[in-house]
Amino acid sequence: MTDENGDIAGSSALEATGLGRKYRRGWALRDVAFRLPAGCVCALVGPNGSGKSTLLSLAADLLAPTTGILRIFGHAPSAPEARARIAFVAQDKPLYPRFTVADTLRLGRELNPRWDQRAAERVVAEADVPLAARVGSLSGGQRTCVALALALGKRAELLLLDEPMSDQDPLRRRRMMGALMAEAAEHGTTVVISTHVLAELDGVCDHLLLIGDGRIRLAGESDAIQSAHRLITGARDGLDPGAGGHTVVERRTTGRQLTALVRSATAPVGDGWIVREPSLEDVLLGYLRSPDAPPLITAGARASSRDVVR
Amino acid sequence: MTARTVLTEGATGVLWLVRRQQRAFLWTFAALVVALAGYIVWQRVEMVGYLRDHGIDGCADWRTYCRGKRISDPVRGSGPLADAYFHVYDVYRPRLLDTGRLLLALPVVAGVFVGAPLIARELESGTYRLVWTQSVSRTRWLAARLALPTAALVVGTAILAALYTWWWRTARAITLTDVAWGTSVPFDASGPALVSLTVLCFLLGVALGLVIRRTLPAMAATLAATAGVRYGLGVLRPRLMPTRTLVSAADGDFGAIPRHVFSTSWRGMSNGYLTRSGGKIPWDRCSSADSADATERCFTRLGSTGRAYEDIHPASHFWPLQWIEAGICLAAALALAAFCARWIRRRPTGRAAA
Repeated sequence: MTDENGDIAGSSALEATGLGRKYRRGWALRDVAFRLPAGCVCALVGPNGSGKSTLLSLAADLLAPTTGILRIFGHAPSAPEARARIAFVAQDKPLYPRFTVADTLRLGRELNPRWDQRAAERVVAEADVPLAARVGSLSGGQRTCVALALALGKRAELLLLDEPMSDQDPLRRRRMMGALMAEAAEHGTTVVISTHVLAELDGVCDHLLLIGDGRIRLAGESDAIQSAHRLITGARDGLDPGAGGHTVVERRTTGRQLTALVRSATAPVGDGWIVREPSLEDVLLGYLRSPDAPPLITAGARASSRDVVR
Repeated sequence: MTARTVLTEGATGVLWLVRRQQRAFLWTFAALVVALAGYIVWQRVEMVGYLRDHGIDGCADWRTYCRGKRISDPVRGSGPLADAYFHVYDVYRPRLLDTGRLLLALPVVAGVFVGAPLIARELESGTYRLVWTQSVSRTRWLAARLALPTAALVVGTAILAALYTWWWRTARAITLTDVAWGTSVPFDASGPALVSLTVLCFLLGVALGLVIRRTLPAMAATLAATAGVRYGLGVLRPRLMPTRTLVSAADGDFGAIPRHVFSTSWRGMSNGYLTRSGGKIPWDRCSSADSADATERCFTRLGSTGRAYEDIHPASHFWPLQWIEAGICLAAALALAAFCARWIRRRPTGRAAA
C-alpha cells in the first residue's frame, strides 16, 4: 500500500523512541522504544495498569507524551495525516447513549472521508444488533460491536483496540475476532489489540508487545520470540541453568525438580536437562513473573534511528 | 482524496453531528422563544389597545396635561383618566418587569444548562475519545460545537430583546419613569445587551466545563460566574460613558431644569452639593449625620455653597451604552472561544482509561 508520502509496505505503522508519560502518581510509561511494521497484527499484553491504555491513548493523540516521540506512519499523532489513518476503540467503548446504532454509524460517515458503510453494517448485522436500537439500551457486548463497526468503517490503516473482547461471550468473541481479522487481512490493516488474557488472541497475532510496569519487556514477531527461548527441566541440585552464558528469565522449583525459562537461540544447554520449546504463553508468563528479567526486542521491532517524516 | 474535499466534507459532517447532539436543546429553545415572543406581542397589543381606548396613548406622566386634561400626579379614584393610569400601573407594569426578569434568566440558562455541559459531559462520559479520533480535527469539531448553539442563542435572544424593547419603550413614559433604565431590568433584558450577555455566559459555561471536566461542578461554577458577570456589568455600566451633571439654582432648587429631563434620564448615580470651586460633595459623605441640621452643618463644613448637583445619563445615552456593553461582552466571548480552542489543542491530556 502506498500513499502520497511514498510510504511503502515494510515501513513502520507505529514507532516509538524514548517515549514516556508521567501522571501525577508517577510514570505510566518510561523509555519505550519499539517499532511495529505496517500490516502486522500485534498483541499488546501486560497486566492491568502496566501502561497499555496509556500507550494506545498516546497513539490516538488523546494524551501528549511527557518525553520522547511517537510516529504513526511517520507522522506525529496530532497530525491530520495520522488522525485519518488510525481508528481507536477505547476500553470502555464510549458511544453516545441517546444515538441509535444507525445514528452512530452516520457519525462515522459524516466525520470520515473514507467511510465504508457496508463494512460497518456487516459487523453490526453479524452481531444481530438492530440499527434502530438506541445505543444506551444495548448490552456491553453489543456496544463493543458498534464501537468495532465504527472503527472498521473508518477504513483506517492502523486499528488500535483497547481490550476489545473483554465483555464478549466466547462465541461472539470468536466471531468478532474472525470478522476483524478478515477485514484486516483484506485491506492490509495494521492491528494492535491490547489484552491481559493472551488466550484471547491465540493464533491470531503475528507480533507481540509485552509491557510491564511501564516498560517494554518483549517486542517482536511472535515466532522469533517463541523460538528464542527454551524451557529446561532438570534435577534441582547440581545444575546451573545459566551455565554457558544463557540468560535465565525465570526459574521455578517443584519438589526436587527445577524448571527454567532461558533465552537461548540454538544450542542445548547442557547435560542433564530436558529441553523443549515453550509455548508463547509460557514465555509471557515467565516474563510477567520475573520483573527483573532483561527485555528482549527482536531486530525487526527495534526502533530505527533514521529520520522520520516530520 | 485531496485535502480540500477532506476539509469540506468534514465541515458539513461535523455540523450534522452537533445538530444531532443539540436536537433537544434546539427544539426546546425554539419553543421557548416562540412562547415568550407570542406573550410579549399579545401583551403589547393589548396594552396599546387599552391606552388608546382610555385616551392616554402618547401621553407621558411628566407632562402636566394630556389632551387638555390634567394628568400629573394622578390620584387613585379621582376620575377615569387617573383610573386608566392606575390600571396600567397595576396590570401591565408588573408584567413588564416580570417578563424582563424572565429574559434575564436566559443568559444564566444558556451558561448553566447549554454551555457548561457542552464539553464537560463529553469529557466526563469519555465520548471525547470517540469524536477526537475521527478524521475531523478537534479544532473544527470545537468550532462547530460552539457555532451552532451560539447561532441559535443569538437569533432567539435577538427576537426576544427586540420585542421586549418595543413593548417597554411604549410603556416607559406612562408607567416606568421611576424605573432606572440602566439597571438590569430593563437594560440587560433589551437590545444588543441581552444578546451579547447570553453569548458571553454560554462561552463562560463552555470554558469552565472544559477546564473543570465534570458536568455538575462546571454548572455550579458557571452559575457563580454568570452572577459575577451580571454584578460586574452593573458596577461598570454607569462608568461606560461620561455622565452629565445637572446643577440647581443657588437655593438648591432644580425647578429650572425641564421635568422630562429628569423623567427620561437614568438617575441615581451621584448627587449632593457643589463647592465654590465647582467640586462635588456627594450625599454619602454626610450620610452619617443623624438630623437635617447635622447634615447641613456637615455640608457647610465641607465647603458646600448650597447649590445641588445630580449626575445623570440622559435618554440619549441608552443606545450608545447598549452597544458599548455589547462590545465588551462580545470581546470577552471571543477571548473565551479563543481560550477554548487553545486549551483543547494544548491540553487534550485527560487521564488514560486504564
